[in-house]
Amino acid sequence: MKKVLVIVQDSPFNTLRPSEGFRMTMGLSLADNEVSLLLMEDGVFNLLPLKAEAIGSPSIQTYLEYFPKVHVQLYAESGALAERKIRSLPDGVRTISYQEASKLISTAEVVIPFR
Amino acid sequence: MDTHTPEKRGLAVGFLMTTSPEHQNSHTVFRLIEALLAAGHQASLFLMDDGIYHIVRIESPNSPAARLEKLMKDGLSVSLCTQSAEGRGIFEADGLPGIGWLSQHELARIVARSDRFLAFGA
Repeated sequence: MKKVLVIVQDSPFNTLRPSEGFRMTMGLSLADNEVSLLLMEDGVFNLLPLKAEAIGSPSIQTYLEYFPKVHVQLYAESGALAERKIRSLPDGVRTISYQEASKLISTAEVVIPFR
Repeated sequence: MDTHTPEKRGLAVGFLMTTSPEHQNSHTVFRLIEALLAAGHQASLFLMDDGIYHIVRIESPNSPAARLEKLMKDGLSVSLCTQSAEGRGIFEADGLPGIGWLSQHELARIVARSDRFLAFGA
């Protein structure tokens, strides 16, 4: 089993890329991979209770619900959350420090910074 | 069971490209793949999002599709995310023959079986 880490650093609405990163993360779990998704910088804005469909954007809510079922672990970097004053998180999100994020990156066999 | 070491059979190198042909990534990825194939390695390329535009046939010897076609003749395996393509109005008849019109499942398989994996995004 290969350890795969996807990193999303961008906020949800400038482009469709962040939601594509979530879709790809879900897809990566379909083979023999141990998949994690790390939200850093503005990527943590994806954890807000957004109503993306109201502006015709794809919603990531489904992915948040399904990640635990397909054993995808979702991480958010704590400094990015604090800087953006995001205190309430969806279930299943694990907050980690920058040092822990570095360790995640160094122990992954494949890192995909998705933009 | 595969008893060959990656060095003996060549590395399996996977590529993901999500940017359109105007991005520098195209040139970089194509040159890397060219060098890897020439050195006896295996290469697989998965296209999603704007990376899909590489497969669109344009009548020019220097078009991205023409470069891709040459690499495929040299052994490159190319597949794509059908959802990304159809969302851009690109269908199988618009693209090069020999490309796998698949799903994110194929990307998952490429990642799982690659000795090395490189992602090229914006």
